[in-house]
Amino acid sequence: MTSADVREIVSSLVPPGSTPVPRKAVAPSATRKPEGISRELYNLIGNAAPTLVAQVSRPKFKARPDLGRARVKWEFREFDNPARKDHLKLHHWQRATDTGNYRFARYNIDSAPISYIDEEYEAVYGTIPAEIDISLLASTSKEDTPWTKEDTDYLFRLVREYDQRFIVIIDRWAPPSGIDRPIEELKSRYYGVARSILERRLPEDDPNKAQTLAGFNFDKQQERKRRDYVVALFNREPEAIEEEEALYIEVKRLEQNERRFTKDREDLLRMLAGVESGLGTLKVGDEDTKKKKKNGETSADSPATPGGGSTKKSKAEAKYVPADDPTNCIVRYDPATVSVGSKSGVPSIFMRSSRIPVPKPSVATHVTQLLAELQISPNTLVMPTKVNVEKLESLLNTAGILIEMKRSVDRLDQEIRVLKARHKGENVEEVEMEHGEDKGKAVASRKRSMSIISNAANKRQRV
Amino acid sequence: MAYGGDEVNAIVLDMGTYSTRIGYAGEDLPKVNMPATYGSVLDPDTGLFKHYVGDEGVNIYRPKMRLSNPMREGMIYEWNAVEDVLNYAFHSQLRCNTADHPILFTEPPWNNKWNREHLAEILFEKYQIPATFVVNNAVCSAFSAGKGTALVVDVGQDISSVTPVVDGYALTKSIQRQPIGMSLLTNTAYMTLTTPTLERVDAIELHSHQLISSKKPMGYNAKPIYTLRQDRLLNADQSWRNQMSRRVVEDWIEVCSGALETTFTVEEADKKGTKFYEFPTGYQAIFKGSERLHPAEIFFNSSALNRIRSYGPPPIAENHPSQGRMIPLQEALPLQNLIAHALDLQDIDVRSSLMQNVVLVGGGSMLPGFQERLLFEVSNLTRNKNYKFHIPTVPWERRFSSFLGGSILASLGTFHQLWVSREEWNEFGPDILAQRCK
Repeated sequence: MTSADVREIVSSLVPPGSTPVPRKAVAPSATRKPEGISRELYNLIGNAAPTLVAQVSRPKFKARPDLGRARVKWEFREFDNPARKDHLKLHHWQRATDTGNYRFARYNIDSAPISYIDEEYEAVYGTIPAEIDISLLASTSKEDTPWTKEDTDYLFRLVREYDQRFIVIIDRWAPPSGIDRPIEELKSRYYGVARSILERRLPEDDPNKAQTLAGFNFDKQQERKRRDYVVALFNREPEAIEEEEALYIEVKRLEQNERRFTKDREDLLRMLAGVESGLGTLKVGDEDTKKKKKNGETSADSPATPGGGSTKKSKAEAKYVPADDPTNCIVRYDPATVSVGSKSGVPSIFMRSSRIPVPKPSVATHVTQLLAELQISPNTLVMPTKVNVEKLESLLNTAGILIEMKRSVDRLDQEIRVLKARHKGENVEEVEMEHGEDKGKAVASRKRSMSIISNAANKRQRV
Repeated sequence: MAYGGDEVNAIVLDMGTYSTRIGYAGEDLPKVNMPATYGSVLDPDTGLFKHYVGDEGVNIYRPKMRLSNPMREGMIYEWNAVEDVLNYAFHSQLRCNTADHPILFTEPPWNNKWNREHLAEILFEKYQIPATFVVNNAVCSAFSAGKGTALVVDVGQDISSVTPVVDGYALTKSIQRQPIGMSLLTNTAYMTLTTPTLERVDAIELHSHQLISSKKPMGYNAKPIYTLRQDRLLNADQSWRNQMSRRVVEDWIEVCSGALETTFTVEEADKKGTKFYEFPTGYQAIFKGSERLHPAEIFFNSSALNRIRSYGPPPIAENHPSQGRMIPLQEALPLQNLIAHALDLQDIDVRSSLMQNVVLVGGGSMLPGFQERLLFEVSNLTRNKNYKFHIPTVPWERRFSSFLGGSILASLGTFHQLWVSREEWNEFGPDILAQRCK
């Protein structure tokens, strides 16, 4: 069967009057394929292709290096090295355009160690006899033998030669006197002599004198202690290292627990008593705990006293709040109620009015409703004295708590209802008992909320 | 110009006990790598010795040619042939005019003052070089690994040594070295091959191919049928024959031997499989793992060390003794103990950085399994996990590490102020070397 046959069959189906509409050829010029997009993809998505894609995926080629233009001529040339004191001429390949000093000569720098002349040394140490007293040598241990000038000269020569690398100096150490000394002894001698020489050499009015001299302070005992400690650290058995690590992890874990407990307690207290325990901002860290231990404070361990209206100042804030000054009539307010201040813990500048607590957004409507019932406008107090503002604050607080409490009571009621429905078919007595308990709880909470309301009422009266 | 380099066409001369390496600074391989040994034949007409150096000088049969090694412990101790070696390298191989090239040469850390000054003198007087410098080959090895501070473990031909290098200075007081190297391994392998076993009732004859005129193809473990060249046998010097037999053993070591990665037991070693080897005589043998891996135990195992102590130490240079103490073979330690001991002697402030930078070099470290075994033994011995070995993966970087380090050093732009120039040499005399090359 050919295509002609098919056409014949199809045309026989079409009513003879209607001629087939000639299909319009798709004009490719009208919707040109944008560059950077493959033909297959374009056929699929058509004109909807985001222009961005086309731009991003356009291939970018590196610019061709221009080889023809910059031809550099190199010359094999003799050069002089200013870092050398002699006239050695070496040869190297160099750009013909490169002239001037040898590039690497500027790396020839000296660490500029201290040196002295004999007069200076004698002025500080006096004229020490050149020969060591043999009896003295025998009586004292070797490293305590006093230094001779020859040995000191030798030490300073080595220090200059090896750029103060004392590890190398101690390795090459073969002084005229033949006395082997430990490395901290060499350091101590070098810094000690250099310091006293400098002290004499620098004029009194040199502003940097103290600073320069401080650079030559060296405590031999401290160094010895440090070395002993490093040796002890180095010689730890693998088991000891493991144990240390385990202990460290354990401490970290305990600290984390502590933090969690504190947070839980905080939440509970806020929930039940509306009190900030003051432990929330407690930082449990290595240094902090150490410091606290030093100060004899056991804040992390002492239980917070719930129910007390007085809020403890957190440590970070307490540091920065200056004391009251009655003579100048300056009264500092407890900043704990509302979180003002910056993240760093330093209270920033604030408006007093901003310190009036704003109820939580979740309960705000209810609180305003409640206040409306009590006929109090939170924004405009008639007499915004200290006492009154405090009252208002506590009122708003308690109102918020009351609302939250009511919500949780409602939730519990709901739960009770659900449980009851579930236990319907079960033992009647059990259900009743449960019911009774729940009732008790509910009654208790209701009582508390009642008392809060009465409190609020009292306050209002006073206000 | 990259990396602070500045080529001044310096030549690096690195003489070792096994081979002498000479090449241009800035290249990673020496142009000339020739055996350290030289042959000497007495010319009956003049009554003088004619010296033969280089591969073609030494390995070819010559009637009555005596082979000797002028190097001991990496130091030159016989100066007769040094100029022949240098002539061969500079004139026959590099074909350069030495007056144009400053020469940096290496020396072992225990080299003595006289030796280095003598070599510098030869270079200045005979070869008219413009400048020279001498550098410690352990420092070079550290540089070749790109480190200024390193604990260089060098397993060489005569000596294995552990040298701490701090900021480019070798700490000479705490260098540990002992006469356990590839030559002792060759001796041990020689004994292994020439000692009959249950499977091999006859000792293997280690004639070199130069002495064999014909041989017949034989089956495995069959007694070889070959004829020796009687004329050569009569005229060959014993030293040459010994050296050529050692070459056979060295080749066997290269093909078959190696170190077991873990503690040596016969069962474990046999698991590494057998290897086939045909000797120049036509004798074919298959070597079990325990047999071919056992010789290298002298590096790691004190009981294997005890066995070879009876072989006696190799001769030691006497006319100009080396500096510092060499641990005699009777007191030699396994290599891992040597490393740990060398570290214990270090100042506590550099110890940990040395531990972090242990560089393993030397021809001995190229034995298969050597580095794995060393790491295994070190971690077993010290229980300290902080060792970090730097082992060049390219094998010739381990063999030519001191050449490579010297090549790097002599091509640095900042180095060129350190050369000891002819002018300074003439002005200050040989002492300038010790002052400049610390």
